[in-house]
Amino acid sequence: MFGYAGRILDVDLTDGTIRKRELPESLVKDYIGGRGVNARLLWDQLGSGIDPLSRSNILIFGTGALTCTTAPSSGRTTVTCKSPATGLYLKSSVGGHVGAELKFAGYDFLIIRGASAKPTTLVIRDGDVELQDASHLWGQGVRETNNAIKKDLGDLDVKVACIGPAGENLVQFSSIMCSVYHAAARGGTGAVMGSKKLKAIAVRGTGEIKIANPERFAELSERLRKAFRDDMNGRKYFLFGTGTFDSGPAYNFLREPPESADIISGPYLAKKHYIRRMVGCFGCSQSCHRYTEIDTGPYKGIYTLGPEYETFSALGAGTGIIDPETLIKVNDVVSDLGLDTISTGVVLEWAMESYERGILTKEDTDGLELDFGNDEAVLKAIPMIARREGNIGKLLSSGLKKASAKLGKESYKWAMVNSKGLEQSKVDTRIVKSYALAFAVNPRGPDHLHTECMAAWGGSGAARALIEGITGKHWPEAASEYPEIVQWHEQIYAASETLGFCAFTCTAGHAILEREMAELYSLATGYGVSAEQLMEVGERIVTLEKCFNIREGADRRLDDLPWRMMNEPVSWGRLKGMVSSREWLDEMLDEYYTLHGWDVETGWPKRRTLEALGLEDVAEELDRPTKLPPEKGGMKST
Amino acid sequence: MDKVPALKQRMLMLTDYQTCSGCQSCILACSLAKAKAFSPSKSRITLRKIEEKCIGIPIVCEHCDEPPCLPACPVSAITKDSETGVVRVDSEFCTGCKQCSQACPYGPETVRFMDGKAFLCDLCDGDPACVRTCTQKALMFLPATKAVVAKKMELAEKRKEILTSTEAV
Repeated sequence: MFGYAGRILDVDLTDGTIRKRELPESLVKDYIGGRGVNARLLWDQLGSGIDPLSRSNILIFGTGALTCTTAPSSGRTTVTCKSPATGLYLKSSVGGHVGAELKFAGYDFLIIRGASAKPTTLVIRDGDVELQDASHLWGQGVRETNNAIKKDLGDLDVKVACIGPAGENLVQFSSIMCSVYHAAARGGTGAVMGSKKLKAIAVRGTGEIKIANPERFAELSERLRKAFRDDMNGRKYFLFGTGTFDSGPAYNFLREPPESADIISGPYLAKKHYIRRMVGCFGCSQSCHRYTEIDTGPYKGIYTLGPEYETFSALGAGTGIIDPETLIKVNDVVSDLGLDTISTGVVLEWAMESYERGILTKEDTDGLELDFGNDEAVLKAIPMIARREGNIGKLLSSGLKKASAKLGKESYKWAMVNSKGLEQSKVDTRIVKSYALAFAVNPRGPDHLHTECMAAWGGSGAARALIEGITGKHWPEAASEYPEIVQWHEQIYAASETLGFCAFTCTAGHAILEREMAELYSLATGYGVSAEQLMEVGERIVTLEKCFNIREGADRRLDDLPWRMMNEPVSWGRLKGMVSSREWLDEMLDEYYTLHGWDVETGWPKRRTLEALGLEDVAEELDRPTKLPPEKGGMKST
Repeated sequence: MDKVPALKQRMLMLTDYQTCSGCQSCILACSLAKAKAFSPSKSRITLRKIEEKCIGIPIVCEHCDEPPCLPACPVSAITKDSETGVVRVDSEFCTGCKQCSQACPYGPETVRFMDGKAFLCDLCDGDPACVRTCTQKALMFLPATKAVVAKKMELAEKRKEILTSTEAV
């Protein structure tokens, strides 16, 4: 198969069985690559109702169909499993270099099942695959784990995906850290790996990927790399990465951000020379990550990759720490412990507001004065969360859904978590309406990485033209067609992630869209996939992910936003009064479900919708016991 | 795209690890151009990475004025083109003894090996695929003016320093 390594590596940690299977072409035709094939594998291999932290859960690493090629920004890998935070579907897209190494080792997909009795490292060197004892690495941070594995294997070029103490201790928002700094986070991927006692995956690949049409592929990818690079909107990310944006919502979305917050941003880091170099994921033409280092002061010698926008917002403006050096330090600590920076910030914001309200006491915080802006307290609390130590560590490490239920006293009202159970990322969804809908329907919970509708901001002519094209309406009316905008973005997000593209290619710059992606994929594989077919694969993926949740018992009620976003209007500035009420959201959901061909009452896809997408077997399974809405007027489709 | 004419005048490849993002696109582009497949093992250019510090150091034949690899080769398989300056290995004669890589002042991984034979960057006849793909401009291909030669020497020196310091890691 051109473009693919052609194999699945399947490792059972319970008995140490290692199997190499051929990648079925049928799977590729229907789902293309990383995110899509992962979704199908998870659906097929997981029964409903399993405990996400039991050995029944599986962890899948899926490389993009165009990963290992010169297609711009195509080195992303999708990690998929059942989430311990939500009990629902979890996919996490990650950059770095691990996925490419896995593909060069000869495997498009890695499935990890079962659980080891003691800490272990999976070592993959081309065809040689073995499990090695990792007892000496258990308890180590991410950086130390990477260095130790490279030393042990005597190979500086080996790429590592590992967990830190947070994953070992099954923290509900622990991440898997790839190539030291790149996080497959949100929803507790790290805890799933930790529950399997898998400390790390070390990969080295020396193989090759052949493509169907090398000359034309080289020509097109070169042209697109240049176009993306020159794209006005995308260009910003060369300089500051996601830190291009201001610090975002502050103080748990309760109060206005302080004026000084503009110093926790990419431009300020650049101005003050904290940024030493730009860093690229595998094969990326953008290289938007920034390596930062501190030369003087109390944090002299501290270095990290980032912080990114979400980290600045959650752990900076959110907790009231408006100091770039402290945040470089915090970013370093959180990443090394293997915690998700978004959820870590958001649980701390909730704890701080609870402390301010007098609901969380000093006894609950083990004596920490969790006032907004207290950086010392934050730096003490973070390792306690990762190690589940003390009252505060135990409370916060379980995530906000459980923590707010435990604390009670209506603390759910300021817990930035929705009914699914994931902490919301740092966008004020009372204000940015396309994001509000996108967050509510995201199968893994309210965050921006299911579909990010940046174009709806109208930041450039290209963005406005894109939204006009999607909605068939003129700007600015077009920007209010949220359901249509979200659905289109869902499809292109799924398509790009299944190909291995970074979401930035289609959402930040609008330089590479479905037509270009389909052309690259066709030249690589020789399959001749059109833009329309690619978007249909996107719709199939989104629908199947939705069906996973339905099989777990989810319905329309879980498609909501945190209480504060639905009930407490913005209380400051020119956007004062804005809120995304349940009524507004319901209106949006009705329209959104209808566009998808999903039932409005339940939010479940209709049988004929599933059949049109070739998901007849999924429809059959959901029908026992019935998880399909009744057909109106007895119109049973064939 | 404007094609640069075949290598007539002396052109120099400059590599600046300080701006390299470590993305390895150069490796992909090289292997695609030379081996019609994406394969780091078949790329003429390689990277040494210090992941923890996010450093990528591009390593590729410098086509030295007086290449130490040339006299080191026991079978005279290495030659230098007097007109273009390109250093080449004749695979017919190469025995894979690796004397050349030991002699290379820029580190042994500069000379690449496949199937027991050495192979080197040939500057793609004046339009290197790696340079075209490097969006960070960490790879540059410039006419050999005095200033460019000085810049090349400076960058090569810096690279040597970082390579020596990383060997201790």
